[in-house]
Amino acid sequence: MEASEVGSSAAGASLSQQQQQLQQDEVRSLSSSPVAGQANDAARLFQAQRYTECLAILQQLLQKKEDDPKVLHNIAVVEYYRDGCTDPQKLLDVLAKVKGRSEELARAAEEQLEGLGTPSASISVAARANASASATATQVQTPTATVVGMGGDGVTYTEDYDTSIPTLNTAVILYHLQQYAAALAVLEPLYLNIEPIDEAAALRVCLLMLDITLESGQPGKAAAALQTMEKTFGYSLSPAEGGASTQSQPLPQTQLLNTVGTGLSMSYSNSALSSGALSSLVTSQIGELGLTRTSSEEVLDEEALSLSLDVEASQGIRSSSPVPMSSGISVPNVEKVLPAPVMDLKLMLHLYKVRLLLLTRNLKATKREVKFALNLSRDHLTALLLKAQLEYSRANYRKAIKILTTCSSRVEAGRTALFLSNLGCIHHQLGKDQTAAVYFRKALVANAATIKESPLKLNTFSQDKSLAILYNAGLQQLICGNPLLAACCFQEAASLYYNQPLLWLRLAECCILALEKGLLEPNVEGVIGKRDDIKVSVIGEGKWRRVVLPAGSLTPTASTKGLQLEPGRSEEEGNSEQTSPNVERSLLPGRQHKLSMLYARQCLQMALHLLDKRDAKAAEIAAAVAAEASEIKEGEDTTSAQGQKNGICDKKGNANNGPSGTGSQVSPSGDGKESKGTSGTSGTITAAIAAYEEEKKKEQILIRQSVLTDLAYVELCLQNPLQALKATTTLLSQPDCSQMCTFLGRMYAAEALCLLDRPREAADHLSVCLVESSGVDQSSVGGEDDGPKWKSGDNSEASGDGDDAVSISPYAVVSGALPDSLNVSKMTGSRARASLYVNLAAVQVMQGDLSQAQQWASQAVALAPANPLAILAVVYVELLRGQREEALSMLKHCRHLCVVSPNKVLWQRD
Amino acid sequence: MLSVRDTATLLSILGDDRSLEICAASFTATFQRPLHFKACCCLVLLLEDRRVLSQPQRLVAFYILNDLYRVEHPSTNPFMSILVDAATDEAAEKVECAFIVQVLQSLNSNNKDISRKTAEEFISTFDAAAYNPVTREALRRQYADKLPSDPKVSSFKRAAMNNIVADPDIPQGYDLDTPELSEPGGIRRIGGGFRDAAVVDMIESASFKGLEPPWVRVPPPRLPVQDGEMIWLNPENSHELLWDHGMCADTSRGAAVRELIARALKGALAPTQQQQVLMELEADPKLVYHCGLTPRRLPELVENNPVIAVEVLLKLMHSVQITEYFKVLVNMDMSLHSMEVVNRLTTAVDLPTEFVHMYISNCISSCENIKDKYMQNRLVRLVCVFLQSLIRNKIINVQDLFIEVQAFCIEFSRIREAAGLFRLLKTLE
Repeated sequence: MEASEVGSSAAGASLSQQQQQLQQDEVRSLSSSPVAGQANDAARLFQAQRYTECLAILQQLLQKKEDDPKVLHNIAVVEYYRDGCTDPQKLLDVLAKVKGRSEELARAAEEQLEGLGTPSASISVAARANASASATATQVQTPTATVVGMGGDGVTYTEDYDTSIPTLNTAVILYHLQQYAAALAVLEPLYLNIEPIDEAAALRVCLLMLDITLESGQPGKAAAALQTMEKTFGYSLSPAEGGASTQSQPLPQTQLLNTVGTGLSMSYSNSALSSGALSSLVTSQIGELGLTRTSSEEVLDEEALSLSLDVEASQGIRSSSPVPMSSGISVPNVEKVLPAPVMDLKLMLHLYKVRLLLLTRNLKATKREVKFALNLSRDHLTALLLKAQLEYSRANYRKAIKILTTCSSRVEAGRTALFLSNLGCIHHQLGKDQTAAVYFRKALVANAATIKESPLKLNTFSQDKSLAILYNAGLQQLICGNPLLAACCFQEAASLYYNQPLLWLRLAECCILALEKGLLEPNVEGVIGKRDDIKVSVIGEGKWRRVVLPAGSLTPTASTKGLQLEPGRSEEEGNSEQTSPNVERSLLPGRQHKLSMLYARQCLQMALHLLDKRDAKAAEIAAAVAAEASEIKEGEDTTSAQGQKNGICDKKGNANNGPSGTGSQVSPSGDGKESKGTSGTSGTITAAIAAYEEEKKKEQILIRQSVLTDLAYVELCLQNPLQALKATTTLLSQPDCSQMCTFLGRMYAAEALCLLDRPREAADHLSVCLVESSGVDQSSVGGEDDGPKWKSGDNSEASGDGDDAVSISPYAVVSGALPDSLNVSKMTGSRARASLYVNLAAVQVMQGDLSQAQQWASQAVALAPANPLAILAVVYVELLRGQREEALSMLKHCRHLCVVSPNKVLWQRD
Repeated sequence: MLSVRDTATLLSILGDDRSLEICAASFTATFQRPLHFKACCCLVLLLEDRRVLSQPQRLVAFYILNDLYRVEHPSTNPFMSILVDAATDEAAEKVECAFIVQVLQSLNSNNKDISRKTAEEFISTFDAAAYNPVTREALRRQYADKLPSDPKVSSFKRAAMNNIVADPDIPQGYDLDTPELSEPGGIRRIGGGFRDAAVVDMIESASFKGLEPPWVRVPPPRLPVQDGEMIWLNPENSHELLWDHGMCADTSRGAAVRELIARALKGALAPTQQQQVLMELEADPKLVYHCGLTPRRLPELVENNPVIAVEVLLKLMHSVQITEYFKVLVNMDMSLHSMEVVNRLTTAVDLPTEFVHMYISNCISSCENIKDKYMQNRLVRLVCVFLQSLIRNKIINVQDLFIEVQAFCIEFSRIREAAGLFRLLKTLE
């Protein structure tokens, strides 16, 4: 089986292994039927990748043993390989059928066995009755035991109908299809009952378990799998260090494994050499590219910025051009071997540990593990890549780039996409957003080229990293301020990340950004056109001259207009309950969907739903843990009860119970702290996992707040003040809501309340805002707690089109150049206060307090003298007070006044 | 709101110097019924401006607003509240207020006097001294009482104001009220402008929406990129499909063991058979999982072949099922064999302490509950020996079970072994 990974260059190694296998087989076949001999022949042919011949034998076997599930299974596997791994779904179907059949047969066998027991028991009826009575007695006493026992029976009792291999293969296929949840669901039962499985398969189960859990971000399970591996295969690990001593292993399976391992590592180094020789011309090209990249970072930056698309396109071609060449030459050799040969198990364990620690962001321990791994194999590619990731995580970006570029000269064609994407990640961290975007785009091009060029293999699907790269690219585009492109990427990536609330939040953010940039509708009806201007028109002449001020709502509510373009859509908008089928349709992954506020709402509701689901799951787990704890307590109670029964004073029993009970409560948290101190890796891993879970929990909270804030905003834009109010109420009731979310939530709530004609309550919200935000100003200027993580609302800082700057703030251009930490002040600082004052003025007007309104308006203008809305607020209040002259002079002095000729009146007539 | 031509017609109707009745009639004649409301809105717009219409024109406009809807109940006139407000506006000309009041009064009486007058006539005959203002409340009660209550509109709309603001462009010192032309047919004054053109523009650019109080809706900021959100790619490990070597495999060896185990459940095996089972189990570490033993069957094996049971359990130590086996073992009926199995297990491996404790408790309660005196003595002696062995081998910590064991010793102090155990406990104290 392993031999299938071995290329033709490794034929020698696999041959010796085959011979060994052969000897073993012959020993067996001596005593058995010709059928067994044929089966062994088939196995050998399978390992030699002679699939057609293998199939012929299998067909013969099938004729002899009709409907034998194992034969059917092997036929399916061989056919899958023979057909070039084109139809995984077909294989999955067959595997499911085989499994079903095996279980059926196993049940039948079980019944038969029970039946066999009867005649022997009939000899001594009394004994049997006795035995069965005791059996039922135990059954009654331990119901759980019998249930598990029954379940176990299926596996333990019927070796002939063992389903572990089909199950494992199903999980393998699902893993390669990147359906990690499904794969885990299939594999986990197998993994939990791993002991009966023979060692070679058990090792595969563990390795697959590790890969699946790590890929799907479940460090807890991954750590458990690592432990199982160490426990189960640990004894075969320590002698394996010596290498030569492996031959002395008593277990045939381990021996087999080790020989395969060494054979592969041989061929691996072999092919590395050959590929180096073969494609010196090819790889040097890649290397060159890599080198130019590092040496002239800044040049590329400028290039990318100035030439934008042209550069990207041409570089994309340049980087992808080696791909067909190299794949044409070296693929048969390299590709077969390089994807993770079964190297030294010890090294693999280290690498898994590194990945686990990286996932949990325990960098210190990671560093140590990487060192161990590199000590074992100096230029192991995966190890080097992991080291690059470590340096990336430690913010040593230059170092990470260096490692990556040195690796990239060695990497074969199929993997350039991976390198480019990782380089993109690094440049994102370096704040070079345009460069990062270029890298992601190149990665996508390279990936597409690889997929097209390389022949289908088992891991073709898993090698296709396009969805992950697409997500990265989408995120980068969003950061660069291109919501439409970003949304395209995210929508594609949704077919893999559809259960990530973050993805849906990002899509909604795309919609919001598009709205801010006026990209949602073809013709922006906004009263304040580019947001920096107050549009007025002048009519009449001389003493009849009149100024027409903007009419209607000034906030972006025009968005429903875009929806009216699609018939039927606007009707659905009214009753959100009925939109669900539509939601289903539009949220289908991979489908491009036009951005709109309605779509944003769907995305946000999806995100909320997913978050709720996660919370429910977490609660379930917590409840299970609590139940377990209480069970333990009950156990203690019964012992103490027994103590009472024995006539010992119950005071003692209580005393026993008390401290132990509290002790068990404390221990989970105490464990983590203690194990941090211990130097053992398992301790650090558990601690890291605990920290990781905590971090994840915090992230979830943050995401939920963000989703609710966005939802309130979107509902306001959709003119659903009631829904908006609901969202803000939920938001404000969240525990430890960030200051900014609270601020925005209150502002949105106030607006919703005004729309519902409840200005008094709105005023309450705003006055709370006023108090809170004044506190903010004094307490955290640096804004360290939720500060530096937040970027300002206008996401245009990196985009070249300054004109389309989203922000209302006149400081937008200036602050765009500022680092993130300073951007925060926009949310808590003067801009936020100015908008707060404007809104306060409006609320005061609604409540009829003109003088108070005037004060707020003038404060707003004092704070943000160029803010058009602040000016408009003053104009409005002055007009209301009958101070026409003042209002007009204020208006005329506004920098952002945009006078439109009356012939081209822009606003709508109803 | 209205086309340029309609606006011109509207202005000409307002400028008509015939009687008010005729003005209103020509209004209804010119404008189709669907246009009525819009035209009236334009009238309101022009009236609100205060300056753009001359006094007689304003009166005509007010008259039309009232007359158009007079057939229906006054409350159903959509402009009634505007009329009432205008009639009681303190800033307005007195003549205007008086006019509106009279017009409104004409609704109730059939007094058509006022309709036959022209606007000019009314103004010229108006006596300001004779006019006594009416309060808004009175008027409201009389005419606008049955107005439907205000529907829920947003506070923004409620606070909206006319968005057309007069901004006269005249040289300093000029009077706004001077006529446009220096003399009829003469040249246009500086800053005179064209009134009609202004009206056309106004009506053209008018909307039903007014200037609402400005409000800032800060767009929510993008959630910062979370840790690890940018996906770092690692080459995936390849997992190949496995060949099922179990296919047509020779299972005779396993079958033999299974057969023997099945027999071992029923009765003691011969020493050679026992030896064979142990050897086979030793040879293949996985065989134990496939030998047909389940937790449910364990008691039978323990009773019949304790040696095999011990070996099997030792082999199963790493299995997930071992706890199930332990549970069964703990709960099975007390016997010499079960005790032997537990004893040998405790010396071979570290058993979970809770299991050992549970087993001891079980033993003790078995001794207490047994009715047959002879059997009881036998059992108690067995348990005492078992416990002594456990304590001597330091497999259990006596302190954990001290009270329970002590009570047991005292209860059965008549038995020699119990007394011995008690002494052992005392020495350990």
